[in-house]
Order: sequence, then C-alpha cells, then structure tokens
Amino acid sequence: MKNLFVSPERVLGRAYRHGPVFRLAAGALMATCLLQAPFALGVFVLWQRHQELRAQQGVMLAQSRALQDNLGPLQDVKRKFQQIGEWEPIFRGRLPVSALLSAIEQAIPENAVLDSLSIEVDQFERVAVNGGIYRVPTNYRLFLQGEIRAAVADPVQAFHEGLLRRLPPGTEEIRREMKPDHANGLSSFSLQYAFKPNGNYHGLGLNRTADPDPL
Amino acid sequence: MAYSLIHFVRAFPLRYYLGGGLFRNGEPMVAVVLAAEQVSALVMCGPQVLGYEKGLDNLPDRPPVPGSVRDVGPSVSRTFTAKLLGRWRARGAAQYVMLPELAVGDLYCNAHSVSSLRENDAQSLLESLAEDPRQVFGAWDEIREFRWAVLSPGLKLCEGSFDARERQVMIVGLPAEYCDQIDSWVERQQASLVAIIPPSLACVKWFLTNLAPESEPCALLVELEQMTVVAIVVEQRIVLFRQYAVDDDDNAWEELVGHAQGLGVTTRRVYLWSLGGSRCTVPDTFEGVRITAGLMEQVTDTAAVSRRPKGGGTAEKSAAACLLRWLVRDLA
Repeated sequence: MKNLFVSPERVLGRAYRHGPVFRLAAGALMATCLLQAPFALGVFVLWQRHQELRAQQGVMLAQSRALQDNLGPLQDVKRKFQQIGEWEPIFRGRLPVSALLSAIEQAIPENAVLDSLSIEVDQFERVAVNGGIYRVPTNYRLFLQGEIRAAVADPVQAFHEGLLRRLPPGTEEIRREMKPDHANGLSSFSLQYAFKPNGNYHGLGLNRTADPDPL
Repeated sequence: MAYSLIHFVRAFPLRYYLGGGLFRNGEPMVAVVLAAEQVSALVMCGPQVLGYEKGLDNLPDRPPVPGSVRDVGPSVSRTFTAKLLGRWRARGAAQYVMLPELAVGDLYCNAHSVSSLRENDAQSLLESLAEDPRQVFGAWDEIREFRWAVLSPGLKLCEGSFDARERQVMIVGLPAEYCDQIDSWVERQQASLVAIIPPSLACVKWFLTNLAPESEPCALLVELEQMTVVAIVVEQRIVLFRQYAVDDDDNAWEELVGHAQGLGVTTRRVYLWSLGGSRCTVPDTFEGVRITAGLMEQVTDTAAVSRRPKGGGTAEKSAAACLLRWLVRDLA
C-alpha cells in the first residue's frame, strides 16, 4: 500500500530524495556543477572585467568627445603654428655672414693680406611653404685668397688654425695652397672650406640666449 | 505523473541533498495515528523501533486530525517533526505514514465486482472516479472531491488491467481536502509522505498478511475510535467490507454473524480486534479469537515494546504499536 493516497507530485518528490538512481544522478549533476565552478568563476571575472573596461571606455570616449569639442576653437591657431613650423628649415639654413666676416677679420694674422673672400652655396634643399617654394642652402663654401710674408716654415698654418677655431663645428678643409714668391718675400695662398648651417655658431661669437621653442 | 529529466531538474531537492541527504541512508520513518481523541506516533530507523509515543495531540504544529476543530497552531520555534525526532534521538528527514481515523462518511471503502464495472483497468477506473464517481457507483451524493485508490482484494495497489483471477476490486476514497492538508503539513515539515492509510485498512491488511487462514473463510471485526469495521475474508481475499458508525456497533455484530453464517464461516474463525475500546456486545459463548498485543507479537515474532524517550516517559507495549511497527516494516 505504498504511495496510497499520495499525490503523484509527492511520490516523485520522495523518489527524488530516496531513490538510488535519482541520488546517483543528483550526485553526478552536483559534481559536474562543482567542476564547472572554476570555469564559471573565470567567466564571471572576465565578464566583470569586460564590464569595467566598457565603463572605462565609455568614460574615455566622453572625455575624448569633450576634448574634441574643446579643440575646435584651437584649429585655426594650430594651422597657423603649422605654417610657422614650415619655415623652420629656412631659418635653420641661415648663415650669420656678418659674424663670419668678423671672425675671419679677427683670424687674419698681421703678416697676411687678404685679396679676395667669397661665400658660396653649393647645395640646396627645396622647401615648400605657404606662399611658394624656396631653395634653402644646406652646404656653404668659403674661399679665401691673399698674400703672406713667409717668416716661418708654414706661415698659413696659424691662419688656418685660427679660422677653424671660429668656424662652425664640422667645417672641413677642402683645399690649402701656398705659392712662395722670393722676389718681394711674400707668398700667395688660397684656402677653401666647406661647412653646414647647423645652428651652432658659438665659435663665431653668437651665444644661445634660451632653449629653442618646442613649437 | 511520469518521470522526466526536466521535472527532476525543476523539483531538484537541493536543500535536502546539501543537508546530507545525498549520502544518508536509513532515514527515520514515522507512523502517526491521527484520531480525534488521541494522536500517537511510532518512530523507526531501519528495522529498529526508536519509540512509540501517545498524547501528541497537544503538541503545537501536529498533523491535521480529521474532524478536529481544535487548532493548536504552528510551532513557534521547532517543528513537530524536529521535536519528535529530537525526543527519540533520530536524525535526518522523516518519512511519514499517516493513519487518519476518519468517520464513516469520510471514508469510502467497498468491494466491487469486476464484472459490474465498465472499466477493465485500474487507470481508467481511477479516471472515471475522478471525473464523476456516479459513473462507477450509480448513487453518490457526496459533493466533496475525493482521492481514489483501487486495491486488489488482498489490499495491494492495482496497476494496469484487472487480474482475470480476481472477481472483485476494492475501491477506497478519502476527502481530497484532507489529503491536501496532509500534503501541505508534510511540505512544511520538510519531510516526505509514504502513504495515507486509514487504520481500518491497515488492520485488515495486517490480518490478511499474518492471521487469515488460507483454507477456511473467516470474519474480522475491528473496533476503532470512530467506526467499527467488518470484513469477511475467503482465501485471504476480502469478499465483504462494511463500516459502521460508533453508535451502530450492535448492528455490526449482528450483521457479522449473519454474513458469516451465509458464507460458511465457523464460529472459531471469527476474529475480534478492539483498538479503540471494546464497545460491541459480544455473547458470552464467543468462541473466536481476540487479537491482542500479545497475540500480534506471537504471530509476527516481534516485540512491540519501545525504548524510553529521552528525558523520561514510560515504555509502551500496545497492539497499536505492534501494528504500526509491522506497517512501517511492510512499507519500508
């Protein structure tokens, strides 16, 4: 008379509690769920991390939009700065000729006379800026010719060393010639140098007064 | 209701399993007699009797007693089950066998001839009874819903087609409302329900199993608190089953004698069992057998003496305890 007047729902409920097959199934089910726990935990942590990143992304997007909005009025200023920045190679390629002449004047020894002096540009860079295309010198050549009284064995050497101390760093000597003339005790000489406008004109007596503007 | 994986997952008793039920065996079984006068319970764990206790009708949160208007209310702290199991030092979730003593009008139990039924199997008979009992009985003026069961004359649950050898089936019905009350109570106790068996059926089942002679017809009269039951048994099968109200006891004895003579039952094969007090006027020349606790112990070869409960109390020895013990063992 087992299960007499017991509703089918209760009969099933009792079978689930006490039936060996259902207990075995429940044990297997619970064990399976338990084994899935680390995976589920990992998924949960990843999901939480994803949610945090999404929230962070949303905040950053909002900040980006705010910055873009703030950047709008500055676009015109930025464009002008870009135009100014285009002139940077032109300014960098300038050579302070007066300072160079002053340095040569100071370097000429007392027993020498300078006949001719020429500064030439032998290499150019084409720079396109707002308003046209400009040829900017990238290499200068300096030619010196004159006469010197030969009091010592190599009288041009002192002149040459004095010039090198004053000319921009990296200056190369291209040619140095001397032709002795025993008639009046004078010797003619010619010197040729090549240098690049690198902005360092300390030897010419031009000192930097401040750091360059990063713009 | 058939088993299904989906239902198993939906009704998964997780709390029970996590509470240790998954690995626990031998959970206590509690058989409770629910009479209007007295509520008694037998607690067993496996084959061992832990205790038998009477006078539980005053405990809060006791099971619903049929016909009782007194409501003792729910327990404040511990449930009825927790208290009962605690007294007898039992652990685990209880499995209840309820024996409600119903009035004659609340219990339908009768033997029906298979040939007089239109249905050929128990399932269709139960469906007809659930739909409208008048399709089966003809006359049925009860307006309440009933839960029905179909039993063989040997009081076993019928399943499938009726056995061709059986000429009769027993149809038993209980008020569905009361069964629902029991269901709800068991649910509240977080226990499970094994069966709801009226004591009259339990007594007759015990008699059929242990005492009814195979070769001779016999008659049984059981006196319960709410009713008197008469059963005529032939070849260990019930051929007649009658219930009488308490104030109709004399008719019960007279009808028993009349049916017994008609079916050839000898006077020595009349059995008298008084579980709710002796009320019938039995003649002094009664030659039959009185079923007592001693006889039950002798027949079933078991002792109906329980241990003393924790914290005092007296050891019990009674026919009811012996019946409950046999019933629980039979159902386990």
